[in-house]
Amino acid sequence: MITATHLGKIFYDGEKAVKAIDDISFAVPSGKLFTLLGPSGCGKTTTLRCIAGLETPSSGEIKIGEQVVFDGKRGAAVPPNKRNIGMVFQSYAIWPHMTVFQNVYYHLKSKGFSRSEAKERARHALETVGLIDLEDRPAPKLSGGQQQRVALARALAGAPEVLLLDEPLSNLDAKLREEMRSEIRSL
Amino acid sequence: MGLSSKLAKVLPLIGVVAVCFHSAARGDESLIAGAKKEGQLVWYTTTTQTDNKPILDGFVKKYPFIKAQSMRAGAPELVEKFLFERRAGKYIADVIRVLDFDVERFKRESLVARYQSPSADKFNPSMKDPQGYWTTDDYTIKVMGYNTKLVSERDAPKSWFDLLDPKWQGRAMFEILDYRLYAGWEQRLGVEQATKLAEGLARQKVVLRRGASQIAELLAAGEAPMAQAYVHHLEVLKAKGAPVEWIRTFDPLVALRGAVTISANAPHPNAARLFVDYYLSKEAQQIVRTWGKVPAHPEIEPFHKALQSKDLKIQFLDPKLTGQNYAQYAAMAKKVFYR
Amino acid sequence: MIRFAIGRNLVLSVLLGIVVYLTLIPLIMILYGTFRDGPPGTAASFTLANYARAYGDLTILQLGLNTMVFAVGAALVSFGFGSFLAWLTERTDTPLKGTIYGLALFPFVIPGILTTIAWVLLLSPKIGLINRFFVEELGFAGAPINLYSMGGMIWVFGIDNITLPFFLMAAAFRSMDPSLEEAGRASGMSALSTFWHVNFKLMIPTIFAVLLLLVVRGIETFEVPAVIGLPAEIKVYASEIFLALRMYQPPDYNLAGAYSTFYLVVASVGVALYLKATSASERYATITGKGYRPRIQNLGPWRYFTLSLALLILFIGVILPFLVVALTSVVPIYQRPSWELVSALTLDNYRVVLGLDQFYQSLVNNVIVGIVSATAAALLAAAVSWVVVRTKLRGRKLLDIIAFTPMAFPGIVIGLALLWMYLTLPIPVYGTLWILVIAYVTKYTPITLRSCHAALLQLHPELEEASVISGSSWFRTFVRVVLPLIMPSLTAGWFYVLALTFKALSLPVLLSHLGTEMLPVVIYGFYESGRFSELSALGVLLVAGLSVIALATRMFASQFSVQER
Repeated sequence: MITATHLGKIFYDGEKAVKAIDDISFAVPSGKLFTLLGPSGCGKTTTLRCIAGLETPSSGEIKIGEQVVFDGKRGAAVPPNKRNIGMVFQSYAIWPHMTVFQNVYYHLKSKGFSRSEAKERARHALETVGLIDLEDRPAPKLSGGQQQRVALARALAGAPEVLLLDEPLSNLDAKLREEMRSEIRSL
Repeated sequence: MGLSSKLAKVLPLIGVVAVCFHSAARGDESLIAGAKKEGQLVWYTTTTQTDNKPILDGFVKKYPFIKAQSMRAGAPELVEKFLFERRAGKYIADVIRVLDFDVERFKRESLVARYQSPSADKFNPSMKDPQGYWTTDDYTIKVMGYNTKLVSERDAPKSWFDLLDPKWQGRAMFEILDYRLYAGWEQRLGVEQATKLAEGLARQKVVLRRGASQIAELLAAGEAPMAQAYVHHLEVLKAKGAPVEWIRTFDPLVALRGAVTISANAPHPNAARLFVDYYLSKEAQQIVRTWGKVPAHPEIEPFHKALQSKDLKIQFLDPKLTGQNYAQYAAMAKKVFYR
Repeated sequence: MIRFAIGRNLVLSVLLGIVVYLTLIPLIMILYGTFRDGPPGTAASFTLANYARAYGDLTILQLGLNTMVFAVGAALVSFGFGSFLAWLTERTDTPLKGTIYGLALFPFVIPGILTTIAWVLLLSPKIGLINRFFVEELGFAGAPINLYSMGGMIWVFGIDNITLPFFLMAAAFRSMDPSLEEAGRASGMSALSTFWHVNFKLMIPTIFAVLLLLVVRGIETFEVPAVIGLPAEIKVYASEIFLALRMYQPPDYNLAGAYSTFYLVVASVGVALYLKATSASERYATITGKGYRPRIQNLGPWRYFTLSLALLILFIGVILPFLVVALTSVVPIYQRPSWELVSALTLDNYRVVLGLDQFYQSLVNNVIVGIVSATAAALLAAAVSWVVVRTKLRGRKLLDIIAFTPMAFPGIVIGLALLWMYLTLPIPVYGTLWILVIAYVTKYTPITLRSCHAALLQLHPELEEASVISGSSWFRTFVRVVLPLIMPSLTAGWFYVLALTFKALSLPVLLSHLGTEMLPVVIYGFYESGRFSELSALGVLLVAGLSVIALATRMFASQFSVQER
């Protein structure tokens, strides 16, 4: 469950102030898929990043579940690594110096899982996206679609409360797009 | 006269001598006792590591209770380090070996102590500071060298003024900013003659190089037929078979004296004195001799035969004068050796 | 912007604090000194005379012009050759890469005095071996090459400095995303056009950084202008500093400092321009997550041509002077190579060097100080670069500029400031190895700073964000994601600083003390006492030793590059 209230974000380009987000509010009930649509540059990515904690809003409030992760009035924010979130970036951001498995497994220990549990979860996530056969392949040696699935597996493995996907379908061909759509729906 | 009267004349002499030896021994004893308590010696020197190792070894052999160490640096850096340390109130060095005019700078700031070592009793007065603050260990001479394959002995110039002959234009190498050379000219020939020589040489477009040892090597390799170099560099090259020779008849042959002195407020003053005594003794001077310059001890002949000659017109720089007139010397040197 | 917990800010503050302490205090001391008329520790009064003397004379313009022509010319030579060789080894299938790599290291590890004299012995109009060859064997009328000229100075200094650009450009090439090139070719651009518009433009941060470093070194150096420029009466800025220190007694450090402010201005302007040019940092992110397979360019039969070209360059520029040095090391005195010389061959020079206690002591000191300094410099640089590239902290650009300033001052000026500083501050490092570490870290962090900065620019920020989102702390992200990906550039910088500690002279000469001598001090001792042959033997031994370290470093760094093998 995500609640955003009177969210605002202003960027400063030199002296000029640019309002990337101007007083938006929305609520996403749990278990639902919520899509932000709009022309490019209208602030979709910025909103996503605010929820993730990668950007600090200029005003407003964000709650994930019952926890207030950003409170504009008190200026308090929960750091991004402490919000229970999974995110798939537009650039996928797969770590090129690690294998497929390492990419998914890497952060699970920081989340508090034991080594064996972490390995289990990583494997399960890779199975879900259908990449379990490629787990030892170095990340750069994957096709675009495969990399995106690794990013998805990585985001899912930690069982996050919220899954954020930034333009997840933009780089795929029609067939893959269909597959991804059904996969996302099935999550 | 009878035996008894002869004896009467000799006995007091023996007595005096006995007393002298006794007090010398007592002086020596108290030094050694003091040094035993100090147990250390720190020597700052411009002599190379390979050179000063046998000196330190010899000293430690004689006084095994002293831990002796040396710090080696080039003269400019050594002087600055010592000065900086002293100004900051840090007393580390006991004995310092630099050049005589460096010690003059130290004298002016009262950083060194008087010590006239008994080892230097027989030294020529020109090897000692009249005020007793430094003693020379060895000296070298700045000479005009030539490449024997490019210049015959007959054609080589015989005096400084011969260098002003047009045939030598652009064919002689000199060190940049060689103010000591100019200082030697002025102190020997007087201001007028020295200026004439300097201005004449400036017109001769001498080839400027940096690094005295480089100059000697390049002369040996034939880069130029003539070069102003240190005699001990040339002699070493000659001994290895290089086609170099130097001209004996120049007047003046400017000589640079090394100088050893003790720091005022030295942390280990007794050890320092013992060291200076050792360094100037015949035993150590034998080692100094192998370095190729002219040892200060009158009973030790220089290593290279050519330096044993008594006919060389050697001009030692007056350290006081050199310090006082530094600015003028440097200005003239800039005209000839920097342009 | 990423906002984080206190842990990160604490670590960064400490590291930044160290950088400020190391750089700002000597800087202020030096600048303070330029307004005084006496050395530190003596009663001196305020004066503007130093600046009047330094800049009041019109001859300064000619000096400045000579200096810039020399520095920029040499920088272009170094950069040209270094980049070409880097491209060959990283992006093509030219054979014998290990050999090229090893040879490109040589000029750097040999003491500068030796290579300069080696060039005199090769290109002097009178005795230079190459000139003699042309005249005697090929029948030329006169010696075709005159070393004693601006061109000669540029050549000698330029070819002696190909190692830095080689390393840094190689690291940059290794981190280039080839899909960007492929996109260029696919959209119809020719190979050349692709190279220009894609590769070149993306590498601008690294290129700029390398050129800046090279030019600053060129302005500062005195050895080459002294040995090669002086006989031709070409004077550069560094000559005036030398004069200031030799013409006056006591040496006029304050005047030298006043002259150095010229360097300071050049370096600061350089860095400011660099930072401005690279402020649109997103443009240069060539390592994204999208994949990153640095592709080897198949040259086909052309690869033998490139190999020959590389070997030719290396032979003329690197092997020849090294052979001269090696020759000098095995004969009692230098002579023209001939058959008679074979009977005079001797290993005595090596025996002398290897029998010298100080050689081993200084070698051990150098290795310890070198490794500690290089590592500290790399760490500090990583911290500062990260703050500059990834945060929006106010004043971070000023921080970068200040951290770069020690590079601009001649070693002797900084050395003296540090000497006085630690003689008077109650920090007991004077006379120990620590003061040397401080000196090297101060003077050489600018190098690792530039290489780190350029490397960080190539890293897409989302790679770090993805780690953070997954729950990792900033520290873990830095260690597990950032460091491995900037490792090639970081290692290059690390090794360069290490090698510099074996090469730099003015700092250790001033700051070494009992038992803390560094190798260059021993080297210079040989040089000053005219023991040129022993010096050459030492040079050869150094090359052998440092080459081993370099190859080890390369093997270490290559584990971090994600290259298609």
